[in-house]
Amino acid sequence: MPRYLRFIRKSQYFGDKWAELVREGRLPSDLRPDRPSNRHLSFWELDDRQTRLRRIVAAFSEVRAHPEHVDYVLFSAEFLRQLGRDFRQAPVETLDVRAGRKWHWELIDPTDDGRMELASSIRQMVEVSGEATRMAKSEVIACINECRNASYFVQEWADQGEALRPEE
Amino acid sequence: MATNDRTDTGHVPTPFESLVSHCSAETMAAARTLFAGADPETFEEGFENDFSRRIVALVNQSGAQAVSAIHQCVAAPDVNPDVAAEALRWLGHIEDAATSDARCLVLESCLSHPSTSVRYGAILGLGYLEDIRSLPALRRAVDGEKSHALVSDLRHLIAHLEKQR
Repeated sequence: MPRYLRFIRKSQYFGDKWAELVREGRLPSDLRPDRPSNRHLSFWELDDRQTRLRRIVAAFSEVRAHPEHVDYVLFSAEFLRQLGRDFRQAPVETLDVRAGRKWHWELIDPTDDGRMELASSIRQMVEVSGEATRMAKSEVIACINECRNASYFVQEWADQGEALRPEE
Repeated sequence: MATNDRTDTGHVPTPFESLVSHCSAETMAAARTLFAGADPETFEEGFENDFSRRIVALVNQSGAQAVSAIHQCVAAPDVNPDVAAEALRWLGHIEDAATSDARCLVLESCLSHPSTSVRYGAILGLGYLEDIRSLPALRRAVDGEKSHALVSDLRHLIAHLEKQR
């Protein structure tokens, strides 16, 4: 069964920061809308064996100004569907065209309660159950280099609508 | 050697004091101004911001004195933990061999800071420095760390550095 990956900013979920956010009625900064045009939240679909993980990390990291570590947590579609109007596949432009077209999903119009429930769930995974996962900066750089060497980053495909390379 | 380092009071500076304790009033004032004007809302992993650019510029300009001033700002009781954490992250990012020992010592000393956020910033900074000499400090930090999340981060970093030995 696929799981859905959300990149998180771990520092938002520690005891002192979390207490401050709750006291002020604010959401963690990483749960504010990902794009200015809508209130949706981005997720990435992982297969059972997580063979897509390194490409997803590379696609996500490639838009950053410089490579850094990433932290992420995983959810089921069932859980996410409760939090908004819909949870569906939503193609997005990335340098790795397949990753953006095939594996990117969005939680559509999450309610305020839904965002809070998501935040609480992430907080639980970060501070209690230890389910948040880190990939170190050097590993992220290795992922990016692997994708470059395998020619997964080809912006022209997105521009010209050419066929995707078969998945390896 | 130790005699040369002895102060007028007879106190022999520790390696930490030798590397980190001296900074001019001008550099200290510059660091305080930076911390006071920082906006945590602009901080985002993977991106520079005005504060990070100025932290890097201060270290490039004033070297170990700037590292000392930043350390004193981070250690101040009224520091904003998010600002302190961001400063520590960037102390790890800076590529400057001349200050790497001082930066490493400051980051290690912040592993016992009372704020979880600041300790997190120190762990990230040490992760960027990737100096295996930090391993003993990181192992000690695991023993004293109360946050489940930070224990996980410390163990992750220790395992990562041990692979590089």
